[in-house]
Amino acid sequence: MGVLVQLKNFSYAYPEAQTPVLNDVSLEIEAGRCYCLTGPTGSGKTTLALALKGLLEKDDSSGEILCPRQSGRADFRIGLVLQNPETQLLATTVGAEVAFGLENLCIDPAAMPDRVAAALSLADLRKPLDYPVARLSMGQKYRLLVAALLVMKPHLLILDEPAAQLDPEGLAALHQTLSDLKATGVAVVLCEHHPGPLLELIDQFWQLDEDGGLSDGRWQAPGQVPNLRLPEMTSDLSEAPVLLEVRDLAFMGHGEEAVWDGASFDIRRGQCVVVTGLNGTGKTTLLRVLAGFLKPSSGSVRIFNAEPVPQLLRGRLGCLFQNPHKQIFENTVREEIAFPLKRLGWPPDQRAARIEEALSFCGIESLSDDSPHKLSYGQKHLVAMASVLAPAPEMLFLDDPFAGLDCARQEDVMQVLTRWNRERGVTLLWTSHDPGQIPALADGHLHIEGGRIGWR
Amino acid sequence: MAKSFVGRFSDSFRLPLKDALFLGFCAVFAVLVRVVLRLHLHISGHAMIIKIFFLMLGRGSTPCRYGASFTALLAGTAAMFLGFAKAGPLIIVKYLMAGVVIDLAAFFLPAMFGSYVLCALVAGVASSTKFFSAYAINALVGMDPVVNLQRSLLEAAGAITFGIAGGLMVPMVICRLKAYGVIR
Repeated sequence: MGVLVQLKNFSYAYPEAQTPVLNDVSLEIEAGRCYCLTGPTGSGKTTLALALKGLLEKDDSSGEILCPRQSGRADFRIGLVLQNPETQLLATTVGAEVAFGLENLCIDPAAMPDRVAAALSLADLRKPLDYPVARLSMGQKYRLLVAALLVMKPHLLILDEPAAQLDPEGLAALHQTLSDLKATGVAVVLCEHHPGPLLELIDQFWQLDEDGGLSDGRWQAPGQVPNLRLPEMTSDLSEAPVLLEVRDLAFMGHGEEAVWDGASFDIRRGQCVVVTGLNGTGKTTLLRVLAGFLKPSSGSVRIFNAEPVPQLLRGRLGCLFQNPHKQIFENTVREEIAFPLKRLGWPPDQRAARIEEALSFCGIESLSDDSPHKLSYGQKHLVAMASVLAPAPEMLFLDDPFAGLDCARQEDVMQVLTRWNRERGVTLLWTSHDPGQIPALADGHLHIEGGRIGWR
Repeated sequence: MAKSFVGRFSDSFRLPLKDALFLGFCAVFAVLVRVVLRLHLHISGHAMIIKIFFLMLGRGSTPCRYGASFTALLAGTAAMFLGFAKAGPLIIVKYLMAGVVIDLAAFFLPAMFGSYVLCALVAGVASSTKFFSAYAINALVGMDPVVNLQRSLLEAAGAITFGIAGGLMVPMVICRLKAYGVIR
């Protein structure tokens, strides 16, 4: 098998950065092999993926990127799916998004529908071609982008954190697809903290260290914290007051089809409840309805003994969105965390102390003066979490809080959530796309399947 | 030798596509905002707030040394064809004078776009060019020099006030664009 892409002593520094994020990186990617790029959150995995795709500015880099197979071939293609699929979506419908690549390759329009349908099937996305992209979940958007690349038959496929977005069914389908692609000589690069079921496909691991150097081997978080010993509950939760009361709740999706209906449950003060379900089952929609951002089709929600009105819940309810880009907007990390405290009228001295505390428990002290928009996906997630936790809300809605975080960071976040739940009595409601991973902290488990929400 | 001089001259005026698009965006908005917000306030110089803001934004958001002048040329030409300010082709000169002042200031004070004070000062100086354009136009139509001087000074005073307001908005916007990585 020949070499597809080669990096020789490649270095890259972001503008205004003191140190390079990639430092003297040399690697070779051979056809028909699968590589896994590992490293701590923010170590430069996505930057290396962008370099392989040729998307970094040449002025800020040194070294060489060679594509030996490209010489004399106009059809050499590298496909890249970024961790945040929303940055790559162009079209408004599923069919148009997948067909966009074919249009650019000047494929005969008559041949497109079959190829689009085949690509969607490979990515395990069962949606009509006219289905609006805006109504897809994050995991479904990731599948759509995988389909949009597969349809163009790339020679090198780079996937940034697929396990952070895809449910077990999606990963199983991806495993089969990647296995078939490898057999046909396509090279695959995974930037992944937790390869999970994709592990057996991987031929070689690379690790990026914090100085931007690349070496062979799989990165392991230093001194990983063993599973947490949970503090004893101080009171019986069954006696605690009900904070969230849901009765016969239903929400209609695209084409008057119910996302879920007949949902009834109570969540009491101090409880930690995990909501699981596969991609697109309506976990995020449920949180939005409960927080008052979306109006349900029928049924009732009462939170803190009142209808959910976002303005009235300010300071009492904290929401962490799945996509951190949607809630980060300030110029620096410190200003981002300070924003909710300013809105709530905290005095400057208390505000400063709380900001330091939030920075510290999310482990992002070193990023305090950086722009949150230029951080990695995982780091943005931590910034968003710090800003949500800073005002010390009574209840927290967390939409996939561990997406894009390495093991060490996940443990850190878990410790913080445990402390807040068990010591401060904060009520937690969080979602996960992997029904198999229920943390020990959870004392309730809601599962969404087939349009029904029920306790497990 | 002549060839190498022409080559160097041409290189110094080379504009990357991204910067050219950004300057074009600033020029279009400098005119468009004025069209959309046609405010008949009868306050002399109120249009300067938009003009100075976009000219300074054009220079502050690109490394191009003639960014403000280029934006001014584009915006002035568009304004001429749209018949703004009843000045005919002279409106290009009005835009261009402010643009040249901003470019010169940015050349001598490279860090000015991060400072509210410097931006306000430069915006004030750039807006003061209104005095010369107003005086020239009034003189062309035969206004008495004493009356012309008084009238041009009054117009310039209004322009400077609004120009400073426009300049004060620039550091905030530049800072936000840098934080988002839109500009360097």
